[in-house]
Amino acid sequence: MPSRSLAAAVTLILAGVVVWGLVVGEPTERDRVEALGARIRCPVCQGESIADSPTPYAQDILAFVEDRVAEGWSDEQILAYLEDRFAGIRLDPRFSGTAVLLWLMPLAVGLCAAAIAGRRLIRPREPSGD
Amino acid sequence: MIAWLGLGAIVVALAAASALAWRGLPALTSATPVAADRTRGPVLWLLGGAVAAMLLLEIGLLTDDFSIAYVANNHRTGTPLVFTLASGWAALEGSIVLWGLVLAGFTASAFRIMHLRDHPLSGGTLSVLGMMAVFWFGLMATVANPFAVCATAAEAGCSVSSWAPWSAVDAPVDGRGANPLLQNHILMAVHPPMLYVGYVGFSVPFGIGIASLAAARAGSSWLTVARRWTLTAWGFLTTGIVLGAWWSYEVLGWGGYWAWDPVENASFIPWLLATAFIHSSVVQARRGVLQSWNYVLVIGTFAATVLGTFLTRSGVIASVHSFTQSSIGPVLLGFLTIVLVGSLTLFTSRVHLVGSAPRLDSLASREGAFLLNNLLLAVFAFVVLSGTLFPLVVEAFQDMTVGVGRPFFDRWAVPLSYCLLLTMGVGPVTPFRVARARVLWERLRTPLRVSLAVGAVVVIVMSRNRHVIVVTLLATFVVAVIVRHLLALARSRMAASGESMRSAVVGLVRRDPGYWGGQISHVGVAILAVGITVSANLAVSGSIELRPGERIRFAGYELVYDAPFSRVEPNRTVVGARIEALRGGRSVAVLDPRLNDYGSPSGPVVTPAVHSTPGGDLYVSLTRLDAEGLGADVRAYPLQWMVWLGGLIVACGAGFSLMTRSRRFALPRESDRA
Repeated sequence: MPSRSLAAAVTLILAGVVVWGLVVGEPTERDRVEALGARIRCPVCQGESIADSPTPYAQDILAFVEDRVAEGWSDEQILAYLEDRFAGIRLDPRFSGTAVLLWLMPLAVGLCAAAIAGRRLIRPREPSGD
Repeated sequence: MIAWLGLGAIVVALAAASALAWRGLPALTSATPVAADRTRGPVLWLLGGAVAAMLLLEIGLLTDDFSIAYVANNHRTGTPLVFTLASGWAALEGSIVLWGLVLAGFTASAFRIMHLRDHPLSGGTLSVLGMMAVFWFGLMATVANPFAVCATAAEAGCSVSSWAPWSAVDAPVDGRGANPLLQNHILMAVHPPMLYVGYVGFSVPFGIGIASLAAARAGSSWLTVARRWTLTAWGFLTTGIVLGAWWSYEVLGWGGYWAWDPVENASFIPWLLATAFIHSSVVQARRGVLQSWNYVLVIGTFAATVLGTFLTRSGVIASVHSFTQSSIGPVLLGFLTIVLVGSLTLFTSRVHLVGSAPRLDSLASREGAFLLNNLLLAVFAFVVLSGTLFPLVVEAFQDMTVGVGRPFFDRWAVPLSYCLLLTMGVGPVTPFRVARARVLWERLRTPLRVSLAVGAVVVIVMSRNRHVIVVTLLATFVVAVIVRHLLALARSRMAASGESMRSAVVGLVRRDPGYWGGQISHVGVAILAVGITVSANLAVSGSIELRPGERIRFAGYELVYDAPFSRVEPNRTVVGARIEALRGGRSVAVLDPRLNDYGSPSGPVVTPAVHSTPGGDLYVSLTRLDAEGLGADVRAYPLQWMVWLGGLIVACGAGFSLMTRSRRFALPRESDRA
């Protein structure tokens, strides 16, 4: 049926455009600064990131981050540099030590729950014939 | 005088609560029915005592009675009426009075709705509610007496207070006034009561769950009522959270509305668990499975509200919500421990009686979608819980500070939300038992194409931001699936009965308010998701420095610094800047970002100015204002209104579900046939 294949073609084209959009969307330098800013705690505020805080101190750190990004430092280099100077400045705990637990626990809980639910709730498929 | 009367009212309520807990006890211990005549008296006295306590506290505030320490420390002469009333719950002791009042109100409605209709679990439920009231009114009668008198006055406020109403009174000339942040916006008078009604409301389903476990009376008798009460509380909690976010946006001036602050998290955890229960209870009602899981969710939701209260009231965490360090922290922790240990012990001793035997036929079914939904919501709740408690735990054991903030929560919340949206799109039209691929494809085909088309339009004209693309696509999908399903059902109804489209739709929705109320909430979530994603990812922000008369371009606007202004109001001094916003040469708004000085030692409060349009918000908050000019943070948030509108629609869905007495979650015809 022509109308049917037309619909399929249109669907495919639309899906193609969306996928293309997802692939092309690359972070700019500005995006990187904002993403990093959101990951760094403002040392003089209560639980705010330097991207959120209007205090001059936070703005100075943000400016510092901006300069390093422009110089081509990697995200990890910038975070490591700041962490050397201010303990606990990262809002997302580094993936090491106790924090590994924090990052992996939800995954473990989810998998366990799924396994238990699967075992207890799903009727085992009855063997066909004998 | 008020000190005596107030404490008297609390003692009356405490005695009534004890009587209620005691008289309902046989229903818990030996499953003996309790006559409504036995509980009526205690319920009425409890309600009367709670209302009197709240009224007396408000009278104390309205009459500037600074002999009461609470009034002296949280009120000042000249505070506008609405903030004076709101002071009744803006600080620790007062908030517990409101808590007690809401609990008494819920107890009275549980009496009316359950006990007067001879619900088999009503006696036990009322007994559990009575026990909780004993705890809260006991707290008020001892360590958190809201009517403690001022024994030693400070310059403003009270430095030493005394529990006993007969102590010598040394009333200050004027009070200290409420926390400036809390008297800065009208939403502050609405957000906490809404949140409390939500929080406290979960006590009722908890009571019902405990009563049914204690009586080993499982099945639908507890489930149907527990679900309705949960929906009620959940609707209020949703409204409270949304209004709180809105308040934060309008008042705090940092531009955001949700910071993953421990106390925001504390309200979000019960919300997630209650949402899970609202869904999984449908599976139990339809297929008789998941009963023990439903008990876990009801207990968990309530425990999460107590945990939230502990985090807010004990001062263990620094946040905009925490009240000052106080002695009630350990008491609340003890209460939480009792609730958890007690209810889980009861649960494990009964689990063999309430466990459900039937199993599911296939994961590719509505039940499967509900299971996935519950898995996602439970993991989400766990993420929020562990992220909130992790810093506390690490600090307690390792003597180091660890930050867990937005990046951690976002990294989990974003993929979880994507999965939830997808489940929300597919789940509601997936048939029960076994879903055949053909039926499902028939129902999803058109919505899929519509959402792909919208996704393509977004890519071409709006944004290449991945989050924006994915979320607009998923949100469109959710809404399109619902609309298609409604139209398809209406069409088959029209064909059968010959009625008009309109009356067919109305008839369908009326027939099953539970299902369609849920779909209203889903549409709200879709709108909310688009609002959150677009406003966060396509925001533009910058800092401006302007001298009077100067102008600057920002995000399509031209901003002109008109002039500074200042005025003295009864409770504050306001200084601000008038900034005119022009678009295409035409003036569209005059913004007045301010610094409000309440004479508090912490300095003035920055109040942003927001200009809202259908396209988005222009948000200006001052960082500096002096003779030379102003400094300000300016931000443009596209589609910000969708966050508030979507959130409120989510709450409306709950209201809609409850409007009519649903007939045991009956489902639309098409699903039954499939």
